[in-house]
Amino acid sequence: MTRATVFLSMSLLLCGARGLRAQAASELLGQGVRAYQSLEYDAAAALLQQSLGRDATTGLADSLRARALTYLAATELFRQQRDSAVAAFRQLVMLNPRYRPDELIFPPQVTNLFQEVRKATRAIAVAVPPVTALRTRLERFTAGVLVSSLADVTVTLAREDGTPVRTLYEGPVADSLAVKWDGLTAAGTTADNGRYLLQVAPRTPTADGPRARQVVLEVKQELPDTLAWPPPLESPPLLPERTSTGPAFRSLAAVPSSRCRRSWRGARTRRARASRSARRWASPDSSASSRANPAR
Amino acid sequence: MKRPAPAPLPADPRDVEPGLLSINAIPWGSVSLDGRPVGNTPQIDLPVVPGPHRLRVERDGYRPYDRVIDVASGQRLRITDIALVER
Repeated sequence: MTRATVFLSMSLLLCGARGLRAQAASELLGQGVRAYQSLEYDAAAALLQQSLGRDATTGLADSLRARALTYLAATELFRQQRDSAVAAFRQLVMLNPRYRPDELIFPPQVTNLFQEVRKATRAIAVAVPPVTALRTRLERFTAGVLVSSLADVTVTLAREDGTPVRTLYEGPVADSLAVKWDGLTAAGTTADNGRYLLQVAPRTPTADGPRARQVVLEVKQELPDTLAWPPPLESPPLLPERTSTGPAFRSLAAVPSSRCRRSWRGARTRRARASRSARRWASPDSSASSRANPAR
Repeated sequence: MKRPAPAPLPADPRDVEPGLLSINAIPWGSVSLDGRPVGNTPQIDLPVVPGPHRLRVERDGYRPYDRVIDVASGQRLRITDIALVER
């Protein structure tokens, strides 16, 4: 009986562990947030750390990761673990320098600590779209450069081996910057398909300055799905308007005079009929009176 | 003849074990207990003299949460589901 109980409890433990592993990081985050709101800070810290510790495949997206770090920092602060709270906030600033904790949810002691950490942490982040395919000359690839405080940066596109391809931006960034690339190299030729590095580095690196960041881009040049525009015409194609009107008048003059008179009379009759019917439609009274008095 | 048992003496308030009150609200607000401000939410394990107390959580632009709570000696009372509603 005892052996069976031990076996059963071991099986349950193993199943539980496997289930916990399989549990999505977002579920752990949700449970951690609920534990934080219920003031169960030890449980909240454990759950939030677990959600952040997941690997890339089962892990959190950056926006959820930022949320988890904010809740973790607040939890640590209320657990009187200020250093851990500062570490979590520093990680948050490095992840997304523009992120701000929700001031409705988090009280001033949390948001003030975040501002302190943000000012002390100089960070650069690069945000790129998930798909980096572009059609040369027709489309532009846009990457976002985010900084926690004013920074003087150089944004360079380089090959995977580090050979520079083109400098995309040089100058100050106060908060964020959208860097665009049209798929061309510095020489104006189309960049080959392959892996590139988008490097953002401070122009004058210092010990306490922000660290350089780089993002790998999979560049796949796509040909446009339509034919190219034809070359512009040298002269407008509407030639008759640019020529004299002589031939048209000559052709009119070639019509016999009797036929011309007939057609002119016919046209006059048609015009008179049309104007009579228009008058009838415009004022029914007048048409009624004209019917009542046919001699008119 | 059996004499009636003497009435229990009132306990010295210093000997009474206080209750512990924890409060949280969304959005966060200012907590006052019996009209005395005690700080912002969350409040964790706030020692409270046993008995009835008037609890108020307020925030500008939101309707205040106002309740009378009864805290027993040694009780850990948690009120963590306060949701302040916009005016």
